[in-house]
Amino acid sequence: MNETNHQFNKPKNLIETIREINAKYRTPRIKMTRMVKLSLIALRAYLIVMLLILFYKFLTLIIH
Amino acid sequence: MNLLSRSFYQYRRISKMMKLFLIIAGPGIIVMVADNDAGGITTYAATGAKYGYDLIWFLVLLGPIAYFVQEMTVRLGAVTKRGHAEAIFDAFGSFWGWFSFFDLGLTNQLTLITEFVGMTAALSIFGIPPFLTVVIVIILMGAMILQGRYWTWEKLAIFFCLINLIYIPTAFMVHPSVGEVLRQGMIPHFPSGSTSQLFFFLMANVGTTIAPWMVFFQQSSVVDKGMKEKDIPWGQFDTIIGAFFTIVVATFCVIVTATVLRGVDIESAAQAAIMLMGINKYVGTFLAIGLFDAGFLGAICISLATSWAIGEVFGWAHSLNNKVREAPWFYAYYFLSLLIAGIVVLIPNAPLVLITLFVQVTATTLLPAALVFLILLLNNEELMGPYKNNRFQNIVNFSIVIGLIILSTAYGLSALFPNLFQ
Repeated sequence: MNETNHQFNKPKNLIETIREINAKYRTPRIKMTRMVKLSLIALRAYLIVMLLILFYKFLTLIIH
Repeated sequence: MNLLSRSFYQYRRISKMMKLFLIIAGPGIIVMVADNDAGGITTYAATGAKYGYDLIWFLVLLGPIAYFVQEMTVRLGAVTKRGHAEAIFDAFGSFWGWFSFFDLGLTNQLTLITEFVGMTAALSIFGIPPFLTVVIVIILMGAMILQGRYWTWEKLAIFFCLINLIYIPTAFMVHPSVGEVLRQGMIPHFPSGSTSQLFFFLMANVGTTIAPWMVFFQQSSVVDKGMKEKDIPWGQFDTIIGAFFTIVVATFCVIVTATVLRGVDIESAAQAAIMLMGINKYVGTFLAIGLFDAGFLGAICISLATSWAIGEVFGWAHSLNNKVREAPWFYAYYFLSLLIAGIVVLIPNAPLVLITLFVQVTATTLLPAALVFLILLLNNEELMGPYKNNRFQNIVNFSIVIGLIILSTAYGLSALFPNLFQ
């Protein structure tokens, strides 16, 4: 059985909930070793490139 | 007497092991067989029609690749007792958590639409209007999750997995030449013809075998099932069985269209089923039933994967073992996602091709991220303890991940720019 913290089970203000989540996970638990940092930087670079390509594609779709 | 008692002991031991396996089995089999969803069946049907048996060896190779990726989720779920979405938030912080969360949500919702497309197309062949299909599916899926226990849901899902095996008798019904299948299909080689088209098909087959939702689904499923560290070997065996079945189904699906529709341009599995009905009523019928089942399996897993992820992140109760009043938001989102998918499919002239394109591209962005996070998490000793990746697993997994990242990116780019690899 999964053990869940049910404290959020009642509907709360969404923004308040998101703030609580951000505060809860503010500090990454994983140790930022060199490999981890490099992987995450590479991932960010990859995603930025993909986003730019997507943006270019949709611009061309709109123009044409 | 000694021999008799030893034999009886062995029988009891094996019987006990099998019963234990049947209790633990589920997440791996379900996620792997559900991987052969409506989009997957379409890909296999098109692959067989285009290249005959020539790419069967490639499909067989994808089995172990899928196993090594999914096996990591078994260990991660059993050790951390957390779903993948929550694990990413916890390990990498809220930026990566929200990124993965939204990408998964978007990809899954779009994929759910494609599953409904497959199901409505399949049942349209039998004269059932799309509206009725949507209603029937939502009722069926709702009934499955509202019965109140993960265990029951799982066994029902496995029943639908067994229906997915319908491609096996279908393949025998078209009387393929076994010698030809083995000669052309099992010796690694690339067929002649357009390289860019071949590349596209290879990437499509890879993309349909390893999908981001599978990582999230299996880990959450392991957690909801309550698997512990001691259950990991059985979970791994469950995943091996699942990988085996997914490749068997994929192979036999390819054999069907490769034998009967070689050289025909197939755009959808429903189109293939209609064509096959003209040749053999039963073959076409079985393909259509298989397509519906594939879409249904995909839909029940994908919708759950997102509902679990939302519950994990927002801290809501999110177990199939919870009643509706205990987990209202979990069930509410589940039904909302089905309704959205059903409504979109019923919109006249809905941009389904654009939606399929979106699915391919957003899945492309999530897959590398999901795999990178998975590997990093599995290498964290503090988190995984003795269950972290060993050297062999790291070598295999890193190789797979790098290969998948390159291929899935190329697939996404080719979806955006079809002439890129001409």
